[in-house]
Order: sequence, then structure tokens, then C-alpha cells
Amino acid sequence: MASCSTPPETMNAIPPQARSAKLLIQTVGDELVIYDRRSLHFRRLNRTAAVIWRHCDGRRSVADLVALARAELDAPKLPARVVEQALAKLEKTDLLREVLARSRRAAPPSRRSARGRCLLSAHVPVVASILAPTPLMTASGEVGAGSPCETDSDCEAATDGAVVCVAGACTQPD
Amino acid sequence: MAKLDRLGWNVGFNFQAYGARFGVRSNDPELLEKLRQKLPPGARDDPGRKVVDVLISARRAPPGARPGLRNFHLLYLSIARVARTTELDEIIAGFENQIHLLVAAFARRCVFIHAGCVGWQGRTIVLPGRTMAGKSTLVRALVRAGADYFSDEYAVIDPRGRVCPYPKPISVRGEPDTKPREVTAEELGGRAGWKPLPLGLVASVTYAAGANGRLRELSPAESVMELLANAVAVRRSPELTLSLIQRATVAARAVKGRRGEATAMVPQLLRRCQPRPVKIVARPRGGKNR
Repeated sequence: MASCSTPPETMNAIPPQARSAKLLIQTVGDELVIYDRRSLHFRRLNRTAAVIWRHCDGRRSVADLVALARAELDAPKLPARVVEQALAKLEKTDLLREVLARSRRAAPPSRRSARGRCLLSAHVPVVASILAPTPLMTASGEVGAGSPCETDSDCEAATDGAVVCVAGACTQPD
Repeated sequence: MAKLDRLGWNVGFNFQAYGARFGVRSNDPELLEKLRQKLPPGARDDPGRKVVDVLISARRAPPGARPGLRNFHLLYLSIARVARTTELDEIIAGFENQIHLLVAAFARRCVFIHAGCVGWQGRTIVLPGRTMAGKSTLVRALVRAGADYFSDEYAVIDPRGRVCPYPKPISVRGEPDTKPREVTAEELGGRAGWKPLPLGLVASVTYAAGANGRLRELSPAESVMELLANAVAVRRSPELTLSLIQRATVAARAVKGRRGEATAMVPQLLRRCQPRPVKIVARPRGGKNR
């Protein structure tokens, strides 16, 4: 039976490394808000996810990350599963440099005590995302041709059918 | 643009608002004057400027012409034709509809959040949300309860992280398929805010019939995300937007939820508009002061 404290099948994985290219990073309290210029998404990392991501330097193994997370979150019995979940979410949102070479199957659920379940839920890693809006997406009322834009898709929501973005403004085709 | 330039523009003026720069030209002085009356809050003349962010061209159709031939009034934003109509009022309405969003999109040094906003006891309550979320209704209810009207369209964050008024008239939606009418804060029995104030509360509250009005407290980072989701120029200026929003929210509370009737939500929002305790880090003893 797998133990909560031992990360299954991950001890020999490629050490995860946080991506830095084209990211704008802002610390807000003990969380991180990151703007990804590639995907035009904002990501919010809660404290658990932020601690783990910060330590992904391409040299530390998953086991190292588990130990660090336990120390920084002051949770000596933190399940290794928490780090696995965080890495999966960070990978899915393109915040890690390389795809981790390991099994993606979730570890089978173990017979955790109620206390163990509480510990897990208190430190669930969260990576929440929103798409950075265009001016048209935030607008009230009827806005159509002439609205500010950066790409043609910004104009698709225009009410009068303008579909082309020309010189920064939605333009009706002739 | 060259083709547009040849249409015969003989009057014009430049203005700027919140750092966004505009030129307005027309072939008709009377039409130009009507457009000048629809300028956004904060607009001031900007004579002599040779380069603008957006050039607005409004052409009044010439009178007369042959029987059976309709002449159209035209409105362009840069080279994009916004309106082509036989009703001059639609040109003026088209200009008014577009100009606020253009100011928000091209503003420099300030960040525009699509949100309702009121002032209360020296702080602001910002209600971010897309259209039809019920912001204007909630703003009106707060103004009737004694809050100062800042805006039902935009919360403007200045370089110091304070929220500034953007006092365009409040929109009141009536029957479906009818145009909203506009009222002032004074007509609602309230008053307009006039000076920037620190942010007290971010309330991301959406109307849903029958909702219980229970609100969840948000973390500071969740609060930042709520504002980013409604920041008009975030793609154009992500660094400025993120920086000013973070500065504005450092001591503000934030909540999220669904509401029923606006008047039932007002006391809860006013009560929560209090500064959040900010963690103070003690300086180490001894050594030089930095």
C-alpha cells in the first residue's frame, strides 16, 4: 500500500524547473499573480503552489520539494501527493519549463485518517487562471466598429459585424 | 486614411483625458460643437498636438441633393467607419458610446477598471463586473443610502493607487428595447465624489433572482484577479495595470457572491468597507537606518 509520505514513481523524474521567459510576476501577500505574455493568461498561485513553484530550479528533485514544502508551510506531515498535485497543475498551466518525465496517473487513494485528510485539504495547491480581457470584452452596451483591438478575434464580439482589426480599430469590411 | 482625408474637414480640435490623446474634426462647426458637449469627464483642450492616439472624423451630409437620393452622415474612428446614418443624433450618440471606452483603452499612467464605484467614509467601494451584472443598480442603491457617486462605468486607479471619480451620468435601464436614460447623483438624492480616495472594498457581486446574498471573503490575490478580469487596457499595459492594482488593493478588503435585491445588499457592503489590517514587519535592532 502506498504511503502518503513517499512520492510514488517520482524519485527518479527529471527535476522540475519553473519557467521564467515571458512571465510578469507579482507577489501579493503570500500568493503569486503571474501574467503569461505567451498565452495572455493571468495565473494566481496560492501559498502552497507558490512555495513549490519558487523552489523548482531544475536541480531539486520532487523529494527535495516535498521536504522544502513541509518546512516552509510548517506542515511536517504534508503528504507528498500535495507536491504532485501542484506540479501537475503548474505543468498544465505552462509554468514549468519541461514536461515532467513521469507517470501522470494519480497515486491510488490511501487509507488516510481524518487528520490526514484535514492536512491535505488545508494545503491544496491552487493555480487559478483568467484570460486577460480585451477592451471590447470589458465594454458595456453596444460597441462595434471602431472599438480598440489588437487582433481580428477581438472584433468578433462587435455587435454590427465588424470582424477586421485595422490600425488598432475594428473595421467593417468593404 | 488618405481617402478619408480628402472628404473636406475644415474644423477641429484636440483634447486629452487621463493621458489619452484625441483629435476631432468635422466639415460642420455646429456638429463639432455638439460633439464637444459630449466629451468624457476629465477632458481638457490639447492645442498644438500633432500626434494623437485616435482621430475622430464626423461628417455631416450636405443638404439638398437630387430627389430620392439619401445623403448619409458619417462617423470614423481613425480609418474605421463607426456609423453611416441619415439621423445626425445617431452620429452624436455613436461618438458618446465610443469615447469612454477609447479613453479607458488609451489612458496613460492610470488604470481603468470596468466597475461601478462609490465613496464611503473616506474610502471607495469598487464593484467590478461585465455588462448586465447589476452594477448600476447597486451603485444607485448605495448613492441613495448616502455614498458618494464616483461612477457606474469605470473605477480609475491613479499612480498612487487611489481611486478617482469618473462621473459620467448614471445609466438607468428601462423597458427592454428602449434606450437607457441618464440621471445625475443629485437627482437620486445623493452627491458626486470629487477627490481621489483609497480603496476600501472590492465587491464582485452579481445579481441573481432569489440569491441569498451570502458573500465570501477573498484573499488579496483573489481581489487582484477580480480587478484584472475587468481591466480595460491590461493587454496593452500589463505591467502598469498589475502594479497599480496591487498598490490599490494592499489595504482593501474583498468579497464575492450573488445578490438579490440591491437595497438588501447595501448595509453589508457599507459595513465591510473598512481597512484590512496590514502586517507590519519589525525592523531589526541596531545597525544603520537605511
